[in-house]
Amino acid sequence: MKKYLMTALINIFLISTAYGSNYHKNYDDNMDCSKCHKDYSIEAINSVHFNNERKIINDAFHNFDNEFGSKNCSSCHNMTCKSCHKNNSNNMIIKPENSNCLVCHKDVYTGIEYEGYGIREDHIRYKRGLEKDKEYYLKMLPSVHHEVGIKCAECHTKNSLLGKENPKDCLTCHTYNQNIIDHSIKAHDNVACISCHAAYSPMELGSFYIRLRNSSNKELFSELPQLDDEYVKSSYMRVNERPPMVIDNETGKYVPAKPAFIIFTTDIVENNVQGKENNMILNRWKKTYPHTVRRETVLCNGCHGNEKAFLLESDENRILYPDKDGLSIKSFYNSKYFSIEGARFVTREEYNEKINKKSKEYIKKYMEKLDQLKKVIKESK
Amino acid sequence: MKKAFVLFIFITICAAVVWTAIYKQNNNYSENDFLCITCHQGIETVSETHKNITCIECHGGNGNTEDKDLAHKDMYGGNNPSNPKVWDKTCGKCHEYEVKRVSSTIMLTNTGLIKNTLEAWGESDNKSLYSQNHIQKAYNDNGSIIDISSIADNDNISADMYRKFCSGCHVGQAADMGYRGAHSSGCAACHFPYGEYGEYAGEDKSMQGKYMHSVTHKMQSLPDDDVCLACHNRSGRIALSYRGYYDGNNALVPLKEGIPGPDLTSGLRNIRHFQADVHHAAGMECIDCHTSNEIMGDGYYYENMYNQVEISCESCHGSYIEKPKTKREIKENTGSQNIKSTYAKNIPFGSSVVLTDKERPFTNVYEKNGEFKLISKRSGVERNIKIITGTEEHNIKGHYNMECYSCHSASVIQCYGCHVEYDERQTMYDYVKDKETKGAFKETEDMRTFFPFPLSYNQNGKISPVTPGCQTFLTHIDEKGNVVENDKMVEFRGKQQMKYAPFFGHSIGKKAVDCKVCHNNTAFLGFGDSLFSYENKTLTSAVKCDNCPVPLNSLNSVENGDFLSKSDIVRTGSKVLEKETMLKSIDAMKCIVCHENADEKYYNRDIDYEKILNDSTHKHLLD
Repeated sequence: MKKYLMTALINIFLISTAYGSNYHKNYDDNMDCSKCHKDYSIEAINSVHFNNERKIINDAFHNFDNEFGSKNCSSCHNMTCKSCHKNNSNNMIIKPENSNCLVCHKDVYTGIEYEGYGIREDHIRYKRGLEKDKEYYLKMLPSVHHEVGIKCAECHTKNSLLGKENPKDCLTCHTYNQNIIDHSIKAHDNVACISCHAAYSPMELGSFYIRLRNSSNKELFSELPQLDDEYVKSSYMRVNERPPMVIDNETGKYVPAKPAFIIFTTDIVENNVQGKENNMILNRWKKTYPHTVRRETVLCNGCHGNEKAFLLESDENRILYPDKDGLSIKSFYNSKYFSIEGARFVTREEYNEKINKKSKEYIKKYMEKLDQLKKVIKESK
Repeated sequence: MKKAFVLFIFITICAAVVWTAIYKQNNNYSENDFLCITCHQGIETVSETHKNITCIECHGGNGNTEDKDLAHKDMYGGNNPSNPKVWDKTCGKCHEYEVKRVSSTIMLTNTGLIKNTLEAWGESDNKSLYSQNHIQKAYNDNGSIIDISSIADNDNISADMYRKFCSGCHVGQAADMGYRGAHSSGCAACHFPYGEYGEYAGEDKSMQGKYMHSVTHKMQSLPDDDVCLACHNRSGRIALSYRGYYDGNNALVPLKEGIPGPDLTSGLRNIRHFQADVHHAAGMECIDCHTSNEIMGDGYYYENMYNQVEISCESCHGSYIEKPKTKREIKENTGSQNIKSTYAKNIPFGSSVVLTDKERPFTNVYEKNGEFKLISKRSGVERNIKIITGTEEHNIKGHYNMECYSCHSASVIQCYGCHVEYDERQTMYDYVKDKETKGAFKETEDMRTFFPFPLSYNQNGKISPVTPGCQTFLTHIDEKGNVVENDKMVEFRGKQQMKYAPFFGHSIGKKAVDCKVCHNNTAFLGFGDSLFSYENKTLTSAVKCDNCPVPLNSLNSVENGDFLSKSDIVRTGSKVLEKETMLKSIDAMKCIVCHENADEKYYNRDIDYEKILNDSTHKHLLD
């Protein structure tokens, strides 16, 4: 959602041809952009785009801390025109660069992976490597589009940010080559391009918010991110992994999903836990579009015969046991514990009957793909 | 009158003798200890067999004074008479055989650890044996006397790191590695375990709450798994994995009662749960598999851990071809009969006892009416052992040179990217030199995974899981604050390459890795995330790294038609998989697409793929 907002903001100014003109040269805090840019008021953008997200978070935290959102989300969810359009070094009004977008579109908030920044675990032991805006990242494969110099705003058009149109998608620019095995499979028409072409997706499986008031236990958490005077943040696991697939309500296609968010809260006053510890207050996945497009894709096994890829990890196949850790779920990769919006989870029947059905075509194409894999390894020097 | 006086004296003397005898019987201490007990009242008796030994026989010091300083003067090894510096005067007086064995055990010498640390940091001095302490006389596995250099004399950075990090886990040295990580030295390291915080918690009031003492003064003849966990909770973390503990990302959640949880281990690391080893789940403890010869040594100074280890999965479960080897036990002084006093239950005398890979008898595994049994040493529970001999799923052509745990591991811990900062402006405690010395180490990590895991050939030429070992990147800051090296990948065998070590993760799963999972996922062949493009002739991983030649979580990659194999397997004789093996593994997938199970009909012979896929059964499927 936020990427739409960002692009909307970009486009407020794209509509004007006045970048760099004297009129817009310097940003004046007293200037009211919406006076002229009537169709692009910040409020309009907010109401279209992230009020829904805001409501979800506020509802989830309602019984825990009514002010959680205003305390911890406002650095991004409180945009003004200048958040995107002001050049911080010289106060000029500018057309936003990727760097403007990535101030907020970082971490698990889709965006920064485009330039090859993968998320790291929360503990200080993992805080090293690439540094951007005081956050540390893993060096990952960048999107192929970034490699050729395409900027955020080139796909995220002004109107896409306002929800008036979709951002440019793959087929706006590409046609797909039927000679490529995966493209030639008819059943794959139900699979969004990104489902195969996302190299990975930054995912936080289980976000933990620990509120500590007058508690000496706080020092035990000093190696975790401190959000403010009260909150410490952690996570069950932060990975840069292939995202699982769900079925998009709009298109009926298999699309990637990410946790947004699976939240657990604990409230500690002095050194006593108030209410339920590690309480799961939100269990939500949503559709995602990892900005990690590569020509390289996963092989057949990325989906076929891979129950985790459809959030259907069975108890007998799981390796991690979060229930033994005191959580109310047995697996982060089993959809029965979670909800989703705008899409639905794949069922076990679909998995057995559609995804793993060994039709003649399936077997034939599988063999061809294995031969290609062999050939690439064999002929490499 | 005179008679009466004599009688009185006689009665008094008798009473005194009887009283003394009763007193002694109740307290188990001799007159020489009389005054030790005035302070250490309530202290536990070591064991039934040690109860008639005086305090000073083990501890030295002086039992005839109430002055604490005088009494404690000249005690052997301070609070630990089994300290290797003095153990020949104490435990070794009776247990000469054990003390000599332990003198050579790799957990005391740490030689493999030292050698590999130096090698992995590109600072090898080409010696094969090292010691942490100066050993006077040692024997190699040929029985000849050998010279050993002490790591204290080595002044390069890796030796310094060994002394400041690794050597904390060393049977020769007591160390406090934090919660659940404190241990004593010498015999006491295992037989007088320290508590969670290393505190005494017995009945001796003068010692209660004192730190770096055993939990009680009672000896634990058969160490429990907590003893092993005190050290084996880092690096390979086998004692954690075995129990189903995962210290993964150290995120300190989920919480338990308001503190980091759900459980903790040393260094404020939280441990979560994953699939435990099936042997643990069945109630087996470390010592149920691992023999005394492996743990305490057999008298020879082995270069590597795997030379000292004498068991394998096959020792108890057999191989496809051969059942476990046995030998009828007919001597009273060998094997299980020799140490039966400490076991809860013993193998009946005269049984056919299962032999280790060094053909020594197990003390708790035997054959009974054609079945194989293992008796847990501490609990006495007898268990049936599954024998795999003749089972067709173990008769797969191409699998003969695989370690059992290549298929049977539920997880194999992998720590990618170990970034070490060495700062000469600071000091740090050196366990070997026993003092603060110049240079402090700090470690950060890139990522931790546990499944899938890459495979390579181990030192026996068998295909085995490997784990990064270690992917060291060094940042060196000198005394003036100049950065001499910045996150430089240390060289191995003269080259900048990724290092992996053959590794048994100690997490045998409830079921084996499925055929289709392994043959279909090139992560097992070392290609990390396995992103593939036929058009670009690329098979690579998403995780990159600044200063390494292949993706961080890979052994190899193909980039635009170039095969990059910039990894090496650290053990002598081990190596990465060759292309031919990779291709064979992928070929097998052609069958597995349809024939998912390890069916004997297909898999116990050579497969001519071309021929089979073109025969009348298959051809029409692929038209």
